[in-house]
Amino acid sequence: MIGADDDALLVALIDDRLDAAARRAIEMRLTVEPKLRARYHELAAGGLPFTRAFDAALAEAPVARMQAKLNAVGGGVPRRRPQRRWIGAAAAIALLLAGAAIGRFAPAPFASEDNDDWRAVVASYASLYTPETFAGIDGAPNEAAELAKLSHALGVALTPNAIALPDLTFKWAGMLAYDGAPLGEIAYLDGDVPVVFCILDKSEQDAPVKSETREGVAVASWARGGRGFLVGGRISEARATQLAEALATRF
Amino acid sequence: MASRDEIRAGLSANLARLWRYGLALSAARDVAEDLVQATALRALERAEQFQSGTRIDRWLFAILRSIWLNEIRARRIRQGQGFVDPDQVLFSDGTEIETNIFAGQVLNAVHRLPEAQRETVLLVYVEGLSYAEAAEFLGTPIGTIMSRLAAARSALGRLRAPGMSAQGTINDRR
Repeated sequence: MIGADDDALLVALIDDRLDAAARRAIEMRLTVEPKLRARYHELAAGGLPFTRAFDAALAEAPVARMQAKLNAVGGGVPRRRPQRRWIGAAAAIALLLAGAAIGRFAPAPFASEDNDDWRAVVASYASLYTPETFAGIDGAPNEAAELAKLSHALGVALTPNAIALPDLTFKWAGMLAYDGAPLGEIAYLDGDVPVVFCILDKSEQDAPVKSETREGVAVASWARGGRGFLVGGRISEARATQLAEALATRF
Repeated sequence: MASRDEIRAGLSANLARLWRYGLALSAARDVAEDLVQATALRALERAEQFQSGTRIDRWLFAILRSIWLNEIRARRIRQGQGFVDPDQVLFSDGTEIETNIFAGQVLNAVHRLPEAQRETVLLVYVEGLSYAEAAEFLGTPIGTIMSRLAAARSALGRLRAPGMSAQGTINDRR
């Protein structure tokens, strides 16, 4: 009969955590006690490749979303950036935090500054991204599934091919909301600079690509088919325009 | 005494590991995410309690565990939600199952273990804590750590699918 003490010793032997004397003692017993030897093999067989498996789970962690939540928690950042736009960004993120399937409100006619607001909010939000935000995230395994969810929510056909941009690496795609309307965000790295491609499903008048810089974030936006589109990041306006024009041929 | 910026940096650097720990405890992705958020809020509130120069990952893990045991887990049990079927937990959207069936099998096997065992497996075999560190962290004797690992190995050995190679055999130690 193998007792709990023997089990503990065998596990410590398997895990190589016994001192030399204890190790010699149990190894000696293994040579003469067949039941103990059988138990040793049973316990050794239960040692699965835990590290590899749990590292796969690590890659599944929604880091970008958790980082956005962390950024949204009051603290140093808002104190340093007491602008109204921050409040808008925080509100947008709060909607994301709620995780709610926010119904689309009946679209009302809205003034041009409303149109500008969503760009300001996204620019504020994008200004919080750093190269570390997406470091270590391998977007590829989840890309198709994440884009499928956005496609469904926004009514736009988003596939890895459709959103691919030369030299940019896909990192994450997820749903946010702006003023009750679905706002999809696709995040890439341009080198190590985060760049976002956002789609707002709220009636906008068709408009060609135009660029501007808000809070240090270059924003190139356009509208088509009642939806607003935007590319933004801490890149040059020329680069934002180049990326936006590439996407505007598809959306 | 640490600044909030130091705590923020520590949180940012450990978000994925905290989520994984939350997943090992709760066996549910959404709960794991909630746990990380609650941990972030609590850690920032208590920034002054963290001793600069000590391991912030352990401090954050301890906060997450405390929130799990005292708040979320207790609430779920009170509400009669119990715990989800481990087979439904990981990769429930089917995406990872296709690309990483092997990891999915191991994780699902671990998730069938009792909570105390799967937590100990994660801390010792994945996070790399020594038996003594795990015992201190969990507030249990070292013998309990070893017993939990033995019980986990015993159960997993019976579940092990053909073709899975073992980790931690005498010839293949971590």
